[in-house]
Amino acid sequence: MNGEVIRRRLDPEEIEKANQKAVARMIESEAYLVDIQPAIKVIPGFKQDLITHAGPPIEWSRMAKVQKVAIINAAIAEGLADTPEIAEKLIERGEIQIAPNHNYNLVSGMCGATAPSFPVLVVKDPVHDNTAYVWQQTDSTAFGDRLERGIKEINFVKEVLAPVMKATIKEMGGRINIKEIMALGLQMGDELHSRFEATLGAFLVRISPALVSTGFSKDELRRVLEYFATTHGGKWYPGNLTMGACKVMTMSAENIKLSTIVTVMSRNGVEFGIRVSGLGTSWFTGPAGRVRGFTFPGYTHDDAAPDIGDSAIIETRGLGCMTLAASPSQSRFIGGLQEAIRHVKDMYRITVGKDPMFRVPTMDFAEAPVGIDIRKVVELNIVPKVTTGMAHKEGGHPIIGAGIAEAPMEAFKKALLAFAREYV
Amino acid sequence: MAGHKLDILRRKIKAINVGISTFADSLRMQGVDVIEVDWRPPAGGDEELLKILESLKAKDRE
Repeated sequence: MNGEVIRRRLDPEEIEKANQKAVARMIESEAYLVDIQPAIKVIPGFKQDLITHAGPPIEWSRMAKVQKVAIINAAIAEGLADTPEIAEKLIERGEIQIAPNHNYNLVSGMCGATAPSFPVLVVKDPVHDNTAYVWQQTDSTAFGDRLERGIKEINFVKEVLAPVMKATIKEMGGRINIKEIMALGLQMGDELHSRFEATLGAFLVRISPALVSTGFSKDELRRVLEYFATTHGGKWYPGNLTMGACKVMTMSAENIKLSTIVTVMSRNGVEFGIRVSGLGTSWFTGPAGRVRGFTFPGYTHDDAAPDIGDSAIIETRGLGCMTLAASPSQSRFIGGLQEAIRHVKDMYRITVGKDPMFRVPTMDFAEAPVGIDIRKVVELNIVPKVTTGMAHKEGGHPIIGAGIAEAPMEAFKKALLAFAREYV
Repeated sequence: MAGHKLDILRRKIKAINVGISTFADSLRMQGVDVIEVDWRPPAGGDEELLKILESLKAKDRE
């Protein structure tokens, strides 16, 4: 498709048909959690000397400091280097390779540093036979928190959480319907990007009989449930599931000739990148924006890194900030529920479809807006926004706050110019 | 004749503000009823982008 020239006058109706196809595929996609496996074992093309990261591609020299710290943490946790200094040298020499998570149909929150042995969630869409992967957020690989603190969490995930959850999936017949749980959570006060209290509850209720039936010891099961109840990572676990589900659902809309629908939005703390269905795997970028919201005690907005993470795949699918009004608590980020409703109405203006499965209860159960159209974004001068966490720009800290960031118009303009070069 | 035209300014004004909100704020501060229309220049006024958008628009599409 890339490089192919259409040797006739472009019929704009064909763009509309392509977009309707892209959106229909996104809406009809399903998302099931089917397995948990080390990245190197289950992700095609993943390599022993590779650490992947959130966002569009970026050279090591330009990378945000916090993302560098997270990648170095992942390299050390993986045993690829003994110290941060050695890890950095190996990366600079290309002996440890870095690449975007999205190159591997993989997503991970915030810095998103993923190493080969990390157990990734495997999410399948049986309707279109697509598979996506998620490395769950941990403090040291997502927020660049100090590895001395964070290594315990990574080891817990590898040694306890992943085996227990893998066995739980098996007990549930080999699949857990994530899309259904997300739809339920959206109607119970979660917007599915930064608030998951209800979704976590719905998830745990559904898996608890199977969890108990796995045969793991009482102590191991207690540790897993304690993780869900008390830690950042545990409380955010549904966020990992949601990211994986949204990735696999948006994959179904990729590579549709003439479609102007956005299939990926992702940030690396320096740039915010998008991919467009009719433009293959090309990235179009603009500067990653500031996250505006609240910070935890001891931190200020000046401490925050710019917008970062693969989690904008959630907004790409039409959830998260796209349905902000579903969450009265998160609506405060934008100035309250009425402002959130106004924002969702703006999102209808830049999308081409509506999803009957995901509904916003505070807007009379209105259907979620789906299918961001780069033409509408540019014409109407309205950009999507993303609800997100804040990472400390220096690394060395866990999450420092949360808020909303804007996608840069520059990315959509670049995409539109590329679309015109390709097709007009 | 001139008097007629000025009469409108002596009546209670209701205004429609298109675009920048700060104009509406000034009117409200003076007790004027204002309806705001959220309008922004298409494509930020970029002519090249406007031409591209026009060529990609289907007939009768809004």
